[in-house]
Amino acid sequence: MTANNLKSLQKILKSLSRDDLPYIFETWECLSNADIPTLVDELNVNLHRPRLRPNVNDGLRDISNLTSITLIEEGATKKKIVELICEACKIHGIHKKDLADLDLLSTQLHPERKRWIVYEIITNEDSNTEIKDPEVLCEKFGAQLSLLISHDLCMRMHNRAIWFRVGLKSRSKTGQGNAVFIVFHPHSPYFITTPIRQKAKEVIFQALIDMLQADDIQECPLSDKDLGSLQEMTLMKNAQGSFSKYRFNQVHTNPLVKTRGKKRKGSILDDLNIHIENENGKDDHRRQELTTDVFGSNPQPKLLKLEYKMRTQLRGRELAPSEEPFRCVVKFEGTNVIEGIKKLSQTGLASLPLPGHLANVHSMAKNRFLLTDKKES
Amino acid sequence: MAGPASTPDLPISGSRHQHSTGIYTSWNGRKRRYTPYTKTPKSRKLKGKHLEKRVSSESQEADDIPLKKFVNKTWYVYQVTPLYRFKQDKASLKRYSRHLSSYLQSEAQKGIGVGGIEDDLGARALFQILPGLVDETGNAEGIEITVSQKENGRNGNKVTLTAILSSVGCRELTEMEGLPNDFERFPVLLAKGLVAPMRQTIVWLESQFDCRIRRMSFNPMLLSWMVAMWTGLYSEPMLKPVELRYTVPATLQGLSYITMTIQQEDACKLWKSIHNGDTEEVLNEEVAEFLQALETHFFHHFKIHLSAMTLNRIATPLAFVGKEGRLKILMTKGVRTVLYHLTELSLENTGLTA
Repeated sequence: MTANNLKSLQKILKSLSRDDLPYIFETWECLSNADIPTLVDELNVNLHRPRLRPNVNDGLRDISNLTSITLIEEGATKKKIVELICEACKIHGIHKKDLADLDLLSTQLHPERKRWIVYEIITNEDSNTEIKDPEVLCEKFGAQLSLLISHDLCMRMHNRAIWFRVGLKSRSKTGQGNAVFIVFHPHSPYFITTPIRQKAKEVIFQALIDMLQADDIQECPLSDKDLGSLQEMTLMKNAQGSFSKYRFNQVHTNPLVKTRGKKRKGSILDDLNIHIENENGKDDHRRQELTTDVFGSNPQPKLLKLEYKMRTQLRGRELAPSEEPFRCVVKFEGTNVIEGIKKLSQTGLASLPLPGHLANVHSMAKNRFLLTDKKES
Repeated sequence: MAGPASTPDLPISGSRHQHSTGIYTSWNGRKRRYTPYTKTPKSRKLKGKHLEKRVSSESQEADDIPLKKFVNKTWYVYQVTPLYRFKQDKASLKRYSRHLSSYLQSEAQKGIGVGGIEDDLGARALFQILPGLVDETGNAEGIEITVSQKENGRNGNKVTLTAILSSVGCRELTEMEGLPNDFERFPVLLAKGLVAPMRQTIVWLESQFDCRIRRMSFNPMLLSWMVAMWTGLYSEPMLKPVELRYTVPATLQGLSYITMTIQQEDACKLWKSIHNGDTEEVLNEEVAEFLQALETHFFHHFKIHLSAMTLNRIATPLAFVGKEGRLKILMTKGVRTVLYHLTELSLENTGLTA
């Protein structure tokens, strides 16, 4: 194993949290087949725990379980576990492919550490050649890609999506910074990637187009850090907002059958507060209703940023200073922007109804917008 | 704006008040000296233009080089009350350097500093006149204080604190009002560097010159004044955009900032349609109208009331200013304009103008 490989192994392992380690022990091939875990354990015994191990010949799987569980349950620090794994890998030797696999695993565990961009595949409806088997898909993609560029490819299924890691040769020596992650959703025209350099992008997209026999790949104006929300916004575009209750099975009646609304029975609370009247009750109620109509009552997809580029005429004054559009960019930032906007409309800091480009963000599969004036014809 | 406190002939203020015939005849900052909030005046002078003229009449290039020190760095802004027995001659500056150095070293030996004791030993302070900031009479308008430390195992020194005392525009703003002898005005202190030497230096300055130094913060009102004043000051291509950042009330979880970034040309056009370009005077109403126009424009597109949010950071082609007293000047040309305005604000806050 080269020094570079060791360095990148350490880097990846250090980036994981301690709670991730059992999962890594279970899923990473290097650790789930028994050679390295045995070594880890032996090293551990020799260096830090000079006591007799119980049965050595309990079968391979048992040993691997033993290692991960004993080490972690005994409260070894992450640093120590990482050290041991590195030491063992050094003795045993691991391949670059294993490293790539580990990188993919750690990205699956922490997708929020990267920025993700959504792309749409545009196909003719006739040439619909859906590849069902991920293994086949991976092989085909690898074949197409190797025609164009030297690379290493890695694939894993995770959360019903197919994840690729394309490692490209880079000038930097560590070689880790230049990996591209692609998340595929079978049966949908969307896929999501981490940022790619322009040159590599052309090549990878060409390979994708050839593989899928698609016409074109288009960038969607949607990119953010929370991968789950991006998936939700693109794949379940039409089940957001007030429709989300159907998605979560919160409606038990058939929505197409009209029923007479039941008379609302007063609760105990109402009786207690019978003499206290909320003057703005009607307004509050209406505001709540309008808000739930638009946003639904379920949590919104998490976006960190919304951006509106505006090329509209200035509406701030009675007389606009010029005919030309007023160029400005408006950004909304926060931990969960759509939820924040929902709260704005609930609390009355915004007038209702909200304009479509703000209210329907959840089902537009967009977080970058361009606003222009309607052309008068 | 026209409260009882703004009528000029109330007897509460000190006797010096009667001399005052400055630009602010309609407003008196001193009456509210002990309240934490200051009133904004009804109008301010737009300083950029004539300051620029003055600079360009001299050898501008030679002037610009030292001013580069200010540009593209993030400073913390402090306000300073008049310094007692502060002298600008070389010998005194040298003496101050020595004093501050030994003070810093003794503090380090007490072990109060954040770093290890050995790190803090050998701190050296240096007072010098900042070239480029000199007024017509040859008096220095800027004093630079640098604190540096020997780095372990290396020969070079590491600068841990840069602080600049500035009095740009001070003479002009306080023309009519004399101070008792022995006092010298440097109303603004810009500082950047490590926390420990900064705190110690401030303590030293306070005890040495019998003054108070306090971090300046800019309320939304002051920030909107700055946006309006500095938006249309220069019109050249490729200027940095104008930006307003609002914070959303903290009870609304999820959304923290709303930022509006406007192309400089368009913002400038809007400002010129509000403000009469011939006068240097900027009126309160004009500022309000400018902000109102932007907020209405925003409301028209998003139906969100920006006036319910707090303005907490602004950017103009000239400078970035944050609510908590952070400042980044973006153009060498603008250094004087920005410093002048800060002087003005500091004098208003400390209640020493009329």
